[in-house]
Amino acid sequence: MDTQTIVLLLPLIILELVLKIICLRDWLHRERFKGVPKSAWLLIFLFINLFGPVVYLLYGRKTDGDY
Amino acid sequence: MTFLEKSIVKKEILEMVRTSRLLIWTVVCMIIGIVSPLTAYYLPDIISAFGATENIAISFGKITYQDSVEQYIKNFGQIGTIVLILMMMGSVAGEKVDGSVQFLLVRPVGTISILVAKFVSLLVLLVTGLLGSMLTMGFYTWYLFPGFPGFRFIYANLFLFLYFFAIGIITIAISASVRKPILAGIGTLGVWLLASIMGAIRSIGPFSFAKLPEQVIQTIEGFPFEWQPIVGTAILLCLFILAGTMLFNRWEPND
Repeated sequence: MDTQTIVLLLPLIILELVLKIICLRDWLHRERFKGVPKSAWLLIFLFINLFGPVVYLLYGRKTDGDY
Repeated sequence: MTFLEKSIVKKEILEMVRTSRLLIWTVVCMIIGIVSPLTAYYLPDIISAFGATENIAISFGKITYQDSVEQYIKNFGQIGTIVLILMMMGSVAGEKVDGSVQFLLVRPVGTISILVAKFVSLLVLLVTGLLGSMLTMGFYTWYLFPGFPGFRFIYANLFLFLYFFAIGIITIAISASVRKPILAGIGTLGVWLLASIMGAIRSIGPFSFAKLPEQVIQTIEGFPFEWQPIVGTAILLCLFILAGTMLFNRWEPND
């Protein structure tokens, strides 16, 4: 892989990492989750690119309003 | 606009930030803006790498900015649409489930004000995301492909905006009519699929809102845009807004 390719891919990697870090921070501080257990959500947002963090942030977090 | 209505709009925008919807949409748009030109640029290398393992030589024509724009439209048409539906399907139905709509309706706030606030927040969401994608896509395509018409690209993105606005409004309208977010998601996916199939029918096809992304390519290539998809989208949106408002008005919180 040449330098140009690495430089061009860098913003993509950073954006994907930003999403994963946001998910990880939220996951560490949260006790209640929807659908699947806490550990499963970790695997989902770490190993499924783009859609993993999106689904976790939209539907994984249980808030006070959720029953 | 009354103070209360302004407050609802503000609440919707804050909600978008708090639930990370604004962040998700902006990051997804920026990723699409980066991935599309890169995929077009490296496609010959990727395919050749696969061909090399099978001892097959594959030749390609010159890859241009048109290929990059086509990828952009394809990615937005699939990933963008699904992500937007996932984000908006709970906008009203989700609030019916958690009880926040009931909390709002006991104040002197009409269902129309609630829906208008949702539409305004959708506008903010779309503008932010599409600005992000235009920036990344514009820069990468300008850098990788010579002759990229930047100004026409900005203008052409209005069609993409209109397409996503239509998807968003349809999702909110269906979400206001049903009791569960998943039903709103399935309903919108159904309308989207139907519009895509309709696009293939010669007599009514040109009026389908699924034809809007094609206008982006047409505009970038310097051809005049077609008015039929715009008219078709406007009529469809009026119908959905009307039906959504009527059904939301008839909804009883203890249903």
